[in-house]
Amino acid sequence: MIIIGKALRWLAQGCAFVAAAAVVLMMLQIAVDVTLKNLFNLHVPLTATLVTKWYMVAAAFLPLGLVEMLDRNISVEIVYQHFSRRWRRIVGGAVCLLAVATVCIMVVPLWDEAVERMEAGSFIVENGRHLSVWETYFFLPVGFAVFGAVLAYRVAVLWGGFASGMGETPIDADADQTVDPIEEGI
Amino acid sequence: MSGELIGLIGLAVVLLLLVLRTPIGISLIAVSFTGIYILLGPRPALGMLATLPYDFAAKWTLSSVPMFLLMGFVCYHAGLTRGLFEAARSLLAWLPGGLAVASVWGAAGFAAVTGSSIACAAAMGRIAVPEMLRAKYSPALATGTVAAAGTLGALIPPSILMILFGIFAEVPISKLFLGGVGAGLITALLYMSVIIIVATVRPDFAPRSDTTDSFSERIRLLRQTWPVVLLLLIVIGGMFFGLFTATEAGAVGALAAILIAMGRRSLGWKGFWEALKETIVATASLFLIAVGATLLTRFLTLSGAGDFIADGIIAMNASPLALLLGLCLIYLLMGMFLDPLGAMLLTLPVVLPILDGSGIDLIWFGVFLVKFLEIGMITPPIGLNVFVLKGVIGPSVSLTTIFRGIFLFLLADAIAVAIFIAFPATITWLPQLME
Repeated sequence: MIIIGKALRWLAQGCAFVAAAAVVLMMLQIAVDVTLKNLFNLHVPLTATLVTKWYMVAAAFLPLGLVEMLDRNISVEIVYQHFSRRWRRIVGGAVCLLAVATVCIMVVPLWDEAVERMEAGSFIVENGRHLSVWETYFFLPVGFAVFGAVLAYRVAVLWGGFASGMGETPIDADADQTVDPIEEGI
Repeated sequence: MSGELIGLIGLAVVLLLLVLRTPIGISLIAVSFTGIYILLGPRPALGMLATLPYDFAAKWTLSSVPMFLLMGFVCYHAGLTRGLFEAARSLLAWLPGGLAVASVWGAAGFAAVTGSSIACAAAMGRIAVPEMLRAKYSPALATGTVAAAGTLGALIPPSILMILFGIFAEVPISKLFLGGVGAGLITALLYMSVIIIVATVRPDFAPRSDTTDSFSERIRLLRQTWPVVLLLLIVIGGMFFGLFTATEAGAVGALAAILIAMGRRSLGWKGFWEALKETIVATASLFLIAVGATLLTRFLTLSGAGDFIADGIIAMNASPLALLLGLCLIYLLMGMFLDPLGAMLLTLPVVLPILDGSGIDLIWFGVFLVKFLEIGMITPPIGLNVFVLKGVIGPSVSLTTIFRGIFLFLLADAIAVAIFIAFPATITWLPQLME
């Protein structure tokens, strides 16, 4: 099982790395575009399409596995924090299973849509230039599939009681108030 | 079963799932999908799942979310804001409660480079609280000040909450940002007044400092704030003078923060990766909720439950003031239990149709809503800023003490809310100037 956990960690981190690269590219391209626009009235070609269809979609959905691994999805703790460890395992696992089901239901139509776009060879024309975008539709099923796999593995570890290897933040531990506050969210 | 009833049951199930710690995004998606499935059948429900997340994320305006997040995280990891409190302390130490006043203005400065009130409270908590405790300030006043001042983080632009409100309400984000300046400054001034009054009435709560920095020392400390001043000039100045839009400002600000940090050699590869990791994690968790909120909007529209609730409230013939006070009460209660982002995205599908016919200015309301959500960050039992501050300062001050310290700042917030309602121009003046 530890090998599966490690593989999932690499997968989630790999997807997150691609998303991080997209964020850096987005920043550079917009900043250069703004500078050129103000100084020379020029534009970086295809900026709008690259930002919206490539960088944003990658940044929004590819890190979902890492988000779940770090237990950083925003949720309400008001009742859960008063549960005993045993109840946290039961309720936390059941909620993860619901999330797995939801994510699985999402992956199917998202994958079908991506395949349809690939077969149609979807592209965007911006100022007379073509840019292929069908590839970006695969970011969603990939991101959600990794998210679902991490969730399912979390339930297996939680209820099976064996060593994980994924390095996930446990959801049945007592609330730790000494974590880095910057990691607490928005 | 009528559509309205299905919609209302759906909302009840969402609340139940939230209580069980289901991620907010997953709760919204699961319930909305099931509801649309029951109402329209499998094909339309699956069709929405296939296209809606992509269409939602692939928006130019939304690119400012990861960019402003990156700017804030880079500033945090590179320590660009470290000099703010020191400079404010040097200039304001002569005032009653000078260190606490300096914390408020230090937080206001940090707020100008981050969209997060938690980051703001954490950063100020690390620097200002130990210094105030060393100066024998009352622990309640010291911690209450920093927890409350942290709320300026989401009020003073850039603000992630305002960006998302702008997108959902379809109002210009740059105008919301400018509205936030007025609201943030008034809040900071009121917090300062509270501190001065407390320190004057009870000097033992905030003993006066007997040391003053020399003029040259003050200049040296002020110089240390140049990264923040420069970023502020670039981001707000660029937007105000039309060099770039609010969306583009995020990317320019993030790049400027990285270049400044590199110039100061205060951001290594590890810090840069941490900032990037925090950015993508926050972005993805936020987008999951936003996709869920968009699906919920569709579900409530299709079921008629959104109109049903809105019509019910409109039929009460409530004046805009009564409507606002009702909304204030709802948000105050929600803020006690819910994360501000979740509370906002969860309620906008219902609240926006109600506001449509009420004549309430949406720019004003957006800023007002963010102010209310931020009040929720310091109200018990779930005041996120308070818990974050507690995490930073450790066991030396209890949670009860921090909440006790916040009480007077909540009074200041009540006065701020009254000012915003009585004098809407305090928020709308700057956005109107932009026109």
